[in-house]
Amino acid sequence: MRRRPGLDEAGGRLAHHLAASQTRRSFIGTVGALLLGATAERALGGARRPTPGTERIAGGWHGFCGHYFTTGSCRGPFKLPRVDAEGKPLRPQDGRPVDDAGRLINDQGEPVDEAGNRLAGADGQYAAPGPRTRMCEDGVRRRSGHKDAVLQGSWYRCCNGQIRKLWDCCSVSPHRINGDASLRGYCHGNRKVFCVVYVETGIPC
Amino acid sequence: MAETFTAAVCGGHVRRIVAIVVFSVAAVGTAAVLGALLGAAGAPLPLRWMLIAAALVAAVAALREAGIVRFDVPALRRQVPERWRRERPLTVWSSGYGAILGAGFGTFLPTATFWAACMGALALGDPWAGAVCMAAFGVGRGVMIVGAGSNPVRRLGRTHRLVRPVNIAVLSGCAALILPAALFGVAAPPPAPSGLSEPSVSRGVIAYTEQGAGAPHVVVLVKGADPIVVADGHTPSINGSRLAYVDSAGIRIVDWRTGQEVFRRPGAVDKPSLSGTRLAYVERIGSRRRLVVRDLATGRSRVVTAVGAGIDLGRPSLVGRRIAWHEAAGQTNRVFLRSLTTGTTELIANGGRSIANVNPVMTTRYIAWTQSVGERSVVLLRPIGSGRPPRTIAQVIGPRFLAGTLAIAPGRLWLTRWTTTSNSARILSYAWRD
Repeated sequence: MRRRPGLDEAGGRLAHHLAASQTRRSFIGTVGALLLGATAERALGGARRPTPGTERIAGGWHGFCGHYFTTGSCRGPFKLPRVDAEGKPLRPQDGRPVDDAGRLINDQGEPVDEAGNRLAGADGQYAAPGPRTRMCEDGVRRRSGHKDAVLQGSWYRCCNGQIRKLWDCCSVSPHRINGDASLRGYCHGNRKVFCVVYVETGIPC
Repeated sequence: MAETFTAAVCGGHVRRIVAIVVFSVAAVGTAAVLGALLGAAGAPLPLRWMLIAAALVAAVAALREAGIVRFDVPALRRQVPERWRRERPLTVWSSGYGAILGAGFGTFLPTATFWAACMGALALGDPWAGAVCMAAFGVGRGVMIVGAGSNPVRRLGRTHRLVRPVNIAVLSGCAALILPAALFGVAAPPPAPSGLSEPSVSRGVIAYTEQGAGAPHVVVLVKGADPIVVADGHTPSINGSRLAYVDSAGIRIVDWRTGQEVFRRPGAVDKPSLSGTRLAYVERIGSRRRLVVRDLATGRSRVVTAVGAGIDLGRPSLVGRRIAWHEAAGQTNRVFLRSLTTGTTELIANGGRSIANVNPVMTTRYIAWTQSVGERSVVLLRPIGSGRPPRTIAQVIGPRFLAGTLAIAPGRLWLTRWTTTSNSARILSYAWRD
């Protein structure tokens, strides 16, 4: 049975072949082109990935139930931008509070497991609390540099038997998180919608 | 300055009272405006770090008042313009003094409490909250004048020794309250729904859902009689002596006077609407929903409409041989009315994407529904089978309040109004004319 060459061996052969068959300058050029190609592919791959909150879903919504325009979700630890009344992240499926890294936390802000027991770090000590910041006011400022981002107007829809509050994160930026021109939405003053979050109100509908 | 507000300076007791009132209003108003400006300025700043900073400022101010640390408080080292009270009318000088003292830094500041309050208003990052925070400072200014009485030098001299301890206590308390919230604060989950909601009316009898600490229950209220409570139930629909409601097993119909069960529809069903011998309800089949009308006399059921995942099929309103319902989703938010006799369906309201039309209710001649744009909801009413434009009979302004389900009878409409901060509901009644 013929043995398949290992990856290292194959890579070595390719490098020898390229080096032997071309001049040094053209070899460097080929390697450069390969690197550029790989980078471009990664960039294109990133571009193909839709901004969360912009993809069409069942019912004519975008990204999540209740969201009827195409502005993307504010970046958070999860794909769905569920927040509490203060705009801080919650785990979408059950509404439990999480820190910016997506770890469940207790009332003291300490990371916990599913059962509510404090998480231990690699050194056996309890894991240190991490920051838990507002997805709009703090997160958009941190990630996109819009220091004026603030949660403003909202609208309401019935989702899964309860009223969901959809909330516009507004900024004076002419561009929204999708990268294109931002819309006025329910923002006040000269602000426009940069991204959106939602709150499950718990009110039946 | 306190000696200015005496009967001798003001020109009588009545004028003194007027001066104190004007001064206090001006002080509170100016402080509130300052607080609102600070709150607005603090809106883009990170709340957590601002709260930590506010707590530290309050703690340092408390240490200063206790004499542990010493530093000068930034302020203009002057008094209010003394000649104003001689040259200008009483309302002008008293409001001017109030504005200067309410603004805080316009005169000499013996304590650092003003700056701690400013930092608190800035940290709150909300104009309204900032206004309330600083208005408290303005109230303190007013209290100082009122408390000084007609012999201010003597009385203030007596109470002067209390100023620093009171400031220390207040500032320490603020720091102790703010710092843990800033460091570890985790917002509480939304409170469970409470109060009265989901009204249904028939022949002057109203049924509704009441939610408290335990499971929700249905209450039937007859004028002049004790309320009848049906335990473990919600979403009632009343029609004559019959009451349909949802419990843990499905939909149950009882004679609410006797409690005797008339009908039961077990399974994943909810949102009942009862009219004569017909029951309309929403059946859940996986992520799909379908609206069914069942003839209780014959046992025959017919599907009125069905919707897919992500589309809200609202509570129907069944009156005689007409049924109204809403379908609300991304591109369409519509209210329909169908005649069960002819099978023809009329589109009552079509809201498109950004206008939600939900929760229709009917009498034999009129249909009402809730139309929401953003945070504002209005209840619209129009005659059935008429091309007349709808008129507004109630409105609910968010984000503090949300409109819930409705009930209607000739001349009167009932609306569930939810308070979003507490998730508590009230049923409001509105009169309307035919």
